[in-house]
Amino acid sequence: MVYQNRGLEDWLKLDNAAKIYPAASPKRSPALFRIYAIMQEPVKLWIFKQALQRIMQRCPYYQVELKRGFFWFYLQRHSKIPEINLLEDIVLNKSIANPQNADLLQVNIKSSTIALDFSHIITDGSGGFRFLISLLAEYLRLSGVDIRHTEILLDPDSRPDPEEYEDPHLKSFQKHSLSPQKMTPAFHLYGHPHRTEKPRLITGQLPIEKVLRLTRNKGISITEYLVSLYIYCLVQIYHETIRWKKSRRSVIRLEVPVNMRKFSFPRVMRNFSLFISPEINLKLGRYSLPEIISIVHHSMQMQINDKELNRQISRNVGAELNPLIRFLPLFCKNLYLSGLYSKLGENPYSGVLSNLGRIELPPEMVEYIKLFNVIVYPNHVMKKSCSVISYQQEMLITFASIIESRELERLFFTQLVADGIPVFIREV
Amino acid sequence: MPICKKCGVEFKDTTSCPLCGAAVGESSCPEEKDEARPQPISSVASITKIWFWELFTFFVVATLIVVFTVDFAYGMKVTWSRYPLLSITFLWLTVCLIIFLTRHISQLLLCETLILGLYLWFLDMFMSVRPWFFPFALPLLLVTSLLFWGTYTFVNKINVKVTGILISCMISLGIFLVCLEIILNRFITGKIFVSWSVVAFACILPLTGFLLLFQKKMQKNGSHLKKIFHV
Repeated sequence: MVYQNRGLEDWLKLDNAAKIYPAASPKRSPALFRIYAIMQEPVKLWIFKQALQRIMQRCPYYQVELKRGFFWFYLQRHSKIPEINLLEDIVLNKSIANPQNADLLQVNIKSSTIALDFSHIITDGSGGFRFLISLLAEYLRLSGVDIRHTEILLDPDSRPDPEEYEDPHLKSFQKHSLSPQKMTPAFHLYGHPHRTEKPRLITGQLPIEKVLRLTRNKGISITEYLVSLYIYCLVQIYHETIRWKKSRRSVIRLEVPVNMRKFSFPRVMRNFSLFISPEINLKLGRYSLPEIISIVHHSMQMQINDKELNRQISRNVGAELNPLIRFLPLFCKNLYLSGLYSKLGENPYSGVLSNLGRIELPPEMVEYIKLFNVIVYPNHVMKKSCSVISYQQEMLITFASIIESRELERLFFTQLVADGIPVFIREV
Repeated sequence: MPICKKCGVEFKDTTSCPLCGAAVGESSCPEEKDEARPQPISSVASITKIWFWELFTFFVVATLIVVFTVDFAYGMKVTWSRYPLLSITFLWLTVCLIIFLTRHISQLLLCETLILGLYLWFLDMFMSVRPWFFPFALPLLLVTSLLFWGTYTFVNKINVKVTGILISCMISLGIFLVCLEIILNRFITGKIFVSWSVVAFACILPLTGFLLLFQKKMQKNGSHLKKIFHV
């Protein structure tokens, strides 16, 4: 068996972050994301299959399926290579919404587009992205392009480093650290569900230079600017909403993932992201965009700190190691975790903005890849998700929505245009 | 490529703006349709420790006042109410300890032993029967607390696995049964001897052996049991 040669057991524990996902209403809010790349030329399927096989065998921790144990779910390893599906359109495939009955990684291709659908049970955006670019590099190598091995790419001939698949949360856990502060429930968007089962995607394409110039003038980062803009749009929707619907929730708070690999364990290929939560309370009055930018900037500067972020690890791992929870049978634990996810992951947040940052590839690869994008499946409570990725001279901002209203997207992109950034819009 | 006059964004492949729905060349955005009244999102009530403690204390004090008054009002002295007053006070102290010392198990155990000892001592004093606290209740309480503390410390310090925890608990239970019989026999007959508790302890031993074997199987790589029962 392949896995016996790779120094791993035939099963893996779910990492600390993944433990909550199988229990947290997978049908309504599947923890999925899609990363895709559009190549300059149509994909050569027979070469791609070879590349996929080599990379999958390099990453045995992704050759897994979800199984029920008595106390916890676990990942059963296998040696199958995922089937390559025809990409219907650039919309997330909800068939992996029920993770127990499907592959946790699905590969879709159409023409020059290569799309990977990941379940958050196996990895997060950064892990998934490293996997995708390693796959593309191997595909190009097998196609005859000379791609040198770099730190960012996985070498298919090497063995997986234990750091890649061991749970980094457990290694970062400090027993007597403080838990993060409790968060009050936040305002959520209202709206009719979308007509189809699939989420609607609106992608804005922006020249990154102009965004950089704007944010440098303001003395803030791109993420801080986009988060501020998102909050500003939600503020406007909030004031519009309370005219016809009384809401006791006056806090607008965003969930912004932070890649913890920047602080420690950079080679981790499973989940290793925590969240910062910039917020404003509208009970204090109306906020202008510059005020929000100032609050978000300082709040994010304070929160993006390994000690501050480790408080989340302390809470999450502390709960996992709690004997009362550990010895609870899985069916009881699922009820508890479902409630916990609602309390900690859904109710306190008005929306989510995930910025994967600027993609840096070896120069030999750049001319073969036209575009990268990432889509996060929207949560049924927050109803919309926003993902951002930058590649070459362009930035893509994608809103995935499960409601009809497109007011948030309209306000967001219109404000960007008002700030002098040309936006090209595409809808799927 | 067409540019929406309202939103200012560029688009292609459609005849209307994907953001506001305005047709190409249209000068204003159509208003968003009124949304129907949405489903309210259920709020999650959070009960803090302090809030619970205050509420609990209020009910305890109210009950103490009522019980005391009812007893005192009929005879101008405290008689039967000593028992419920003492029991309610003990219950209140226990709950307070659980609320405020949850994360400090050793301190919680020590304080709980102390207040349980005091509670039993007072009960013994109130009863006009043969004294039972010092010859029976106190040794039993000390043995129970020591065994509990010893098992907890062992499990925590050695960081044993699930089966290890079960084995520790079962051996502690066996020792407890032996001590219980010794204390009981000494209290009733004045002699120290053991009988049934040794049989019970002997029954526990094969069970711990089975658990040890189970643990050994679990430690094997690729063990089917290990992945199903991992905690």
